[in-house]
Amino acid sequence: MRFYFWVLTTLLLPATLLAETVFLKDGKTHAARELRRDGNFLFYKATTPDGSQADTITPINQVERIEFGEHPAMEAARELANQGDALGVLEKTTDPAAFFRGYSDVPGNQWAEVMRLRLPAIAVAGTEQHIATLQAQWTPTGDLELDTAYKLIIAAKNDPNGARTAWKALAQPGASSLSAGISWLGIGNEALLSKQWNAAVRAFLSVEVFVTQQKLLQPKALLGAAKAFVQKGETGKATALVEELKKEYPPVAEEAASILK
Amino acid sequence: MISPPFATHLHPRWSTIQRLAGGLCLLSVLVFGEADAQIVPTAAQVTETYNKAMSAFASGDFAGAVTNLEQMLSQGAEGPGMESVHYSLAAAHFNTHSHAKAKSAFENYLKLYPNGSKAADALLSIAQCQALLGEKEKASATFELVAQRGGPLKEQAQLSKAALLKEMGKKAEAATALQALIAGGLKTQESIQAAILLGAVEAERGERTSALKILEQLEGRFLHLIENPLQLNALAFEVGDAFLRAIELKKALRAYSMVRRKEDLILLQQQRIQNLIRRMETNVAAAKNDPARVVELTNTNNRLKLLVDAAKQTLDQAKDAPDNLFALRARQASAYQETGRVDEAIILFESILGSPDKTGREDTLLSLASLYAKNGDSSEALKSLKSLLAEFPKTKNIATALLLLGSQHLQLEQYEPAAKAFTALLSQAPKSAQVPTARFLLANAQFNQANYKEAIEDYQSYLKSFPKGEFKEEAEYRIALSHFFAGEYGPALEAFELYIKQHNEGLFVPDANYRIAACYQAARRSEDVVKRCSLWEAKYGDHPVSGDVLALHGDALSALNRQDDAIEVYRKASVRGATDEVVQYALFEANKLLQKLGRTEEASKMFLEFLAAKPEHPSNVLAMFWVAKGTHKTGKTEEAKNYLREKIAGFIADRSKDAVEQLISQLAQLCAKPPRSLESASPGNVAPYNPEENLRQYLDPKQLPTGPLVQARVLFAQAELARFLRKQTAVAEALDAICDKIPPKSLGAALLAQSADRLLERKETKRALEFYKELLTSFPKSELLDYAYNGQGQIALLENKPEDALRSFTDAIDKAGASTKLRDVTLGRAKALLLQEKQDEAKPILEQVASTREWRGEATAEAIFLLGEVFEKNGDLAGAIQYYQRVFVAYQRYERFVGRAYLKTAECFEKLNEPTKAIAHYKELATKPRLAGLPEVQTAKQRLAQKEPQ
Repeated sequence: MRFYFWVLTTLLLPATLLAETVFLKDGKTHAARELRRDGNFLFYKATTPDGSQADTITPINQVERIEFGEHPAMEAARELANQGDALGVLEKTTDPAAFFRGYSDVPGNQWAEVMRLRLPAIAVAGTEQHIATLQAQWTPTGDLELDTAYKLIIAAKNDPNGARTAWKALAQPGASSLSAGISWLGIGNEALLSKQWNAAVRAFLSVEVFVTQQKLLQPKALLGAAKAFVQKGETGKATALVEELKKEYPPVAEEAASILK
Repeated sequence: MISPPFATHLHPRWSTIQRLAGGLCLLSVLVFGEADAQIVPTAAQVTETYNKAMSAFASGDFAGAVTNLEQMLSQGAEGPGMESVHYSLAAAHFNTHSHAKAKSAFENYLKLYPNGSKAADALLSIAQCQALLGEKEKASATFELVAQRGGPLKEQAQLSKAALLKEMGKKAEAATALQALIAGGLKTQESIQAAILLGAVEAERGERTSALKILEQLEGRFLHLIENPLQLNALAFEVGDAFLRAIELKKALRAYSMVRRKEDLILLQQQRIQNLIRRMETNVAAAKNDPARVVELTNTNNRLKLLVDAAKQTLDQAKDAPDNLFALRARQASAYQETGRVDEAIILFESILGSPDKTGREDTLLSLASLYAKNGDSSEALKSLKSLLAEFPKTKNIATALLLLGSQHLQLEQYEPAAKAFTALLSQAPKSAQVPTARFLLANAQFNQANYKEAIEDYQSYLKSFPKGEFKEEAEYRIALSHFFAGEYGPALEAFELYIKQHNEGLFVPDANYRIAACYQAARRSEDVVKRCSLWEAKYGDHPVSGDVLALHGDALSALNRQDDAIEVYRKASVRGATDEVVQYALFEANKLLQKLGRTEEASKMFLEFLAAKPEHPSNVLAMFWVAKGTHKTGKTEEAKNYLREKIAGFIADRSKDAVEQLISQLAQLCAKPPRSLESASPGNVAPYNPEENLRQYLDPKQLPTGPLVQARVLFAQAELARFLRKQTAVAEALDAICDKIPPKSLGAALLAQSADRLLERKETKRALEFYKELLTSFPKSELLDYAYNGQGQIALLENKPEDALRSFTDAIDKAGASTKLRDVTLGRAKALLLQEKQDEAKPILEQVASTREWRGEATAEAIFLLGEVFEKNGDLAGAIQYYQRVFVAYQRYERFVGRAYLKTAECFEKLNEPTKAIAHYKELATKPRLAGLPEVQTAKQRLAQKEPQ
């Protein structure tokens, strides 16, 4: 039995511009363009053996996996993440999030990849609207680190006491996960508010030294540590952090400089 | 070196036959050549031999495979199917590590089948054999041949050649070859492997930035494709170390951030194995559905199986490998430390201590101690050092640890343990490099304990052992200082002069000149002092000790009765003084002279100028006190009150301003007396003056901030007013309200001291202790600490703990100066000594209390009474009676001692067998109406009844 068929009529449905490879459970592969999903079917233009393009419909349950090409916005989002530009990342990942959410049950989807950028961005710069949208579109990524981070973001909004308990449990010395980073930021911010400068420094610098991969959390952490150092009267240390922020994270350079004023 | 391609290599064709073709064999294509004429094996026998060989091969018995395959060749089998036999034989040799035989067999295969299906594999294998046999140049050329042939083995050959070039030290050539391999992107296993190798080559070549770029490329998205993540970790360490050595710390940290912890590596490898197995399962399913793809998919799965096996091997390696936690954190910490980011380094090292893995704990504890010390956190440094020395008493770094331990104790002004640590270093590591510093710091520890004799000996010992030591100059100077502080001004003068002679441009010359002047002051040679101070001021101007010199100059002028000059110099000193103590001393000495000369307005002006110049100085409240006093003295009482109101309102809610109570007291004092206008007015013309109402006008709670501290200070104002109005009940009520309503943590130093004393008076020792402790903890620099030490001592006396009491009284003098409580502390010391039965030590102290005019009062009565007890205990009853009688004759006001003194006198007379005098004293005590309430009266009556029965 063959689980796919060629369709010679042109389908009038919106499609993506991405180039993907669809792997079927029977071992066949399709080089697909303009892939889109409608319910339990995939619609795309597949390259036929003679090199021409044919509109194709494939039941989703026959797809083993899809190797998605790089979403055009993702590379830009990654670059912005490296500069610690959370707002930029939020903007750039809006479309990929919406797109890959539709394929989150298909192996090979990049939902987790998108969330890997979007969750830390929301954690440091997300508005009520961002969080509401995230909650509405959320489906577990299967990656414990990301799923825990999501729960922390939502808890911080809906159950602050629960979030505080989780922060304490997750913010262990040496932990390098995203959720540990979010927890330290939460602890650091609360310590700043309660004028516990040493605790604030410790929490924020823990993000710097342990959660090194999360570039989006770094500026927030360094800014927090610099503020705490200023309050402690350790201006030299604050200045060093501000200089690093200005050099490494231009989007927050102005905010960093204002700390020393 | 890249692993040989078939270290666990299954013959693909065999696999196909065994697993998929279900019994098909090659015999149909095998024919026999000129076999042994006598024993010609049958086709069945050959088939059996072949099957045995392949079965052995498949099960990893490569030696068995060799035996059977060689037997086939000896049987003379021929035909196209023999290609597989020759190839398999070579592969089996390879797998038995018989590389020479393998090479020969592969060469034979190529000779027989130059265009055979495995010709490229054979050539690649020859290259690998050459490499393994040490024929590196040849191997390189052969790999190149394979690469030039193109095809699926091209990348593998290029990779192997590059690895070989690296091994041969041809790093530039290796880098070029590897760069070519990754030019098309990281898409294949070979290209990823090439990238890892290139990273290592670039790191070795010093091309750190290029190596880091490669690491960054490999990070994240390609991680799941990397065959051996341990290699990537090793590369990240290597690149990080290269940057660390080059002091490119940010990049070093970037590289280290890519090192994965052991548990992450294990997880990563497990995921990789699962993915590979999933792909194999998919292939099996696809093969079932499409028999035409069986051969292709089986070959794919065989390759995948090899990858799974290799991945499992790597997984085992990762599991067996030691945790890299310490290696990683220590490097990261080192990078942060190099940039002066000590806090980050501390956090990193602390994370190691929390780990169950104890690797590197010894080094971590020492590093942490050193970092805490660098960060100015001596308490934490001491904790780490104590843990280190407890857990590793024979630590390899004992000298460093003890030096650090001693220096941190010094920082915390804990001189005794500091000296102990340095002494331990000198005895445990007498040949270490730290000995000179330890010897010098040991002397400093003695100096700081005021053990000047020992300090001089230790400095001299240092100078003798290390005549050209780093601290020579300072040691010589400190010897002079030690004489100076020991009050040995003659030797001090000589030593300072010698120091100046030897170190004309020395660091301490200005200070030495100042001390020389002070030596002359001690000898009362004020003219010389004035001369020397003037010279000093001309030479050193605003040197940091200029305030001290000016104050000394002022003292000398004052001694010469040149008061106007002295005032001027003191005022200069109050501006120049580098420490609060000097500023305060000079200011108040000037004030003393101004008050003496009646120049009150000038004094007020001086204090106003001081307040304007030093708005944050701790003596400000005292200055305000004098401004208000001066204003009042010039008849402007209302102005003084308003001034005080304004200043008090500014400080009343600030707990740290512990002198504000003095202003409040002053305001209360001013409010206690009616204004002169009312005093002179005839009664009836004006409403009677109400001091409480007047105080409320200037200290209106409604116009003040709210809070327990403000509430307490308002109550204190009421208590002070009551005290001036001699309303003792009101005083007690107000103070009790502070004690009972306001938590100690809300009170300032003055109120803590007074409340605690009040609680002690009420015999609430537990609560009193709580207040005293709060005073010590929250106001460690307060001038009122003697209240706390004295209070603690008095409580210890009540609890019959004379040792604790003595310690507290000593602290009151040594640590707090006992400016206010000196009388109580001195008497307390005597009482503690008496409790220890040390009458001889107590006696001179009691005599001192009894003879100090300024302390005349209840303390005198008590001291005289106790002197009586001392004489009595020493058996001098007549002497004792003299003291007891002095109490009830001269100090009748202090009834609690009067009653006891009468009783004691009578008892002494009884012991002297003078009953008449005893009875007379009992009677006097029993009949004095003023003493009727004393418990001693009942005792006297009982004794009288026994002696004179009715």
